[in-house]
Amino acid sequence: MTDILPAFFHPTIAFFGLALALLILSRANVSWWRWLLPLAPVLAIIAVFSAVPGEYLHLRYLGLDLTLGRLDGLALLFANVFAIQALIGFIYAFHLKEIRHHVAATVYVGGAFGCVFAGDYLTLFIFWEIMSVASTLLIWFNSRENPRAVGAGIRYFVIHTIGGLLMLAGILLRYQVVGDFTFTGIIPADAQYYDWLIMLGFGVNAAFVIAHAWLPDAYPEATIPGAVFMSAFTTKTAVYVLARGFAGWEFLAWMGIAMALWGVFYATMENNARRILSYHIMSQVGYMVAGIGIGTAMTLNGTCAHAYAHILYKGLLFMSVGAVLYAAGTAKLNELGGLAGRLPLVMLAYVVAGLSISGMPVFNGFVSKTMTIAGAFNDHQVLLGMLMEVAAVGTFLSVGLKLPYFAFWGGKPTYDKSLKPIPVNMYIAMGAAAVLCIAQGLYPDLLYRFLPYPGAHDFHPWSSWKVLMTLLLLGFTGLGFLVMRGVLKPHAQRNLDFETLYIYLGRSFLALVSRPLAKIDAIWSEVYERVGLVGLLFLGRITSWFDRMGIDFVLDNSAQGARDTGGILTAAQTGRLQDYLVLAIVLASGFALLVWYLF
Amino acid sequence: MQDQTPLEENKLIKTLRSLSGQLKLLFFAVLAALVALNFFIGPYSPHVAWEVYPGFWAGFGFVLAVAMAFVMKRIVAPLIGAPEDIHD
Repeated sequence: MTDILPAFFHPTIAFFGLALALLILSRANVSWWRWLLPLAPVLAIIAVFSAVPGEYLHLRYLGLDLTLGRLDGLALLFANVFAIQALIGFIYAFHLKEIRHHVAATVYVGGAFGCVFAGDYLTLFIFWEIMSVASTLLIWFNSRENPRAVGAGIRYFVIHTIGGLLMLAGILLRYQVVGDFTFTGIIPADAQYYDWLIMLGFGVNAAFVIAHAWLPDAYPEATIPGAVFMSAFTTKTAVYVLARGFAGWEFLAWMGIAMALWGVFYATMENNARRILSYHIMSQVGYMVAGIGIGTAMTLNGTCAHAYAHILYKGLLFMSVGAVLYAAGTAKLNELGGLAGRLPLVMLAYVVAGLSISGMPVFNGFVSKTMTIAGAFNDHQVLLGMLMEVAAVGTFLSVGLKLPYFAFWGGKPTYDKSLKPIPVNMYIAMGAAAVLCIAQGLYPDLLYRFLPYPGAHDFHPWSSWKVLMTLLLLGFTGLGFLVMRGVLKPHAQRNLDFETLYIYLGRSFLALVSRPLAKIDAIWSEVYERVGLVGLLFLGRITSWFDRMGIDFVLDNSAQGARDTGGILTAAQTGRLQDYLVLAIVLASGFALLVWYLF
Repeated sequence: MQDQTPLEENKLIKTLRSLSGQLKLLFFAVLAALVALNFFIGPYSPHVAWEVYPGFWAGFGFVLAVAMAFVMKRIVAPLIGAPEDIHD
């Protein structure tokens, strides 16, 4: 029984519909299918901008009340930026001929919309898992170009499955106590163990420290447009659900800071440009998680604003580094160098994104990051606020300066091999994202108008002190870079992180389970052969004797009769043609003799 | 085989490169101007006590950038560095 209001068009329908259409068209020999790609994001943008807050799409399924369309300020803000980034992403991926890649991307994005609008945990879980599977494909589809994608994809999928199971366990245990699946905010004082399970399940996707290693492990191995999509949706869906369910949890404030710092520390050492960006996802999501943990209206607004801005500039970062990777065939800083002159527009796009993530005035990171940090200070969380400033220094140092310096400018030999021309659609996507980053930085109201919590317009980032303070902080970080650029020169090495622990844990788990199990299995087989089989045969003989002599004999002996006849017939069926011929001749002559005798 | 058309060096970027010495001087001048401005423009309501001293955030940024670069690249990286193909 469904009760669907027609007033809200769920964007997931558009994306899943597109995926289905692409699957069908992949069998037909047509080339116009790619013009369908922007259709779903455009429909999503229209749906989100015209949506009226409320509850839509209630579904009664297996005796459960599911809500597929809960639309409020928080959900609509995330849906808004998801729709815009989906359009940018599909423009960026437009040149790609691989239909299966587009199918995975559309399913993934559709899943993200499903999560954002889910009103209950069950719906959320289903879309959550759809996202997990589809995003794994975006990694695996790169395995032809990059063999490392296979292992990274497996690790990614295993970690996300564990996260999903934690979440599911929490959801079911919660259902046993509470009696429903409604997904609403949990007051920290009332928190139960199952709430923690759910939060940790979300935390795996948000890249909590220790659970984070899947991110810098997998994203650098994904396809170029795949990484652009993934940078926007997985972690930000997690931010959304944490903001919805766990605002004001102090644990999250400290976890967020740990993430913000861990990410920048690793990014300072890294060599692979896409891995640097991945660590910066973790770091920037750390700001958002910290804002959720502090839990005031201002920090929550800061989290939302930062998530919005982050999706745009992080997408742009992955697009521009992806363009370098596309043209040069590598994203390793020690192999690149001096590309500014040959890829000036890519460099420009990167610089816009790099300054945005660093929170430089004029760019959108400035109006979102300062809100979160000011919110922390206003809540008298001085230590948290100062640690966020430390992370801001590290962000500018590694992604704002180190990466572009060694990829586009100097410090080491210039990359002098030939470059593959970059498709125009990639430039269009980068241009659109860059324009949005700058527009939001210059006119913060473009972003603040969507913020769901009260008081968004009381914050004014463009005050003389905030601008000066930011310029001082970042300017002198720049001076620090100038002094230390020799030290920061990238080296070809992998910096071990928790993924090493995952791998060793996985191997020891396998050894721990498989070796004793193999031993037990061997002993069991022996016992079974020696004792079990003999006993079983003996038992079988007794029952067979009882069956024959007891039941059958008492009744009419028909079973034995049938068996004996069957035995004779089986003996007759030798499978040799000559036997059948002889038998047929004997039968025919017998029949003829009978006819002759009777008539 | 991929299309390997070479891309030409952009002229504006070339000019910027040749002016790197002057640009560096300009950068220092801007930094000095920012610190000078800090003597006149201060926080309306300081978040931390030291914020009222001009140049605090300048020192904060510089010291942390240098310290982070040194600690991570010279101390931590050699400790946790491994060959790039370690997991393959």
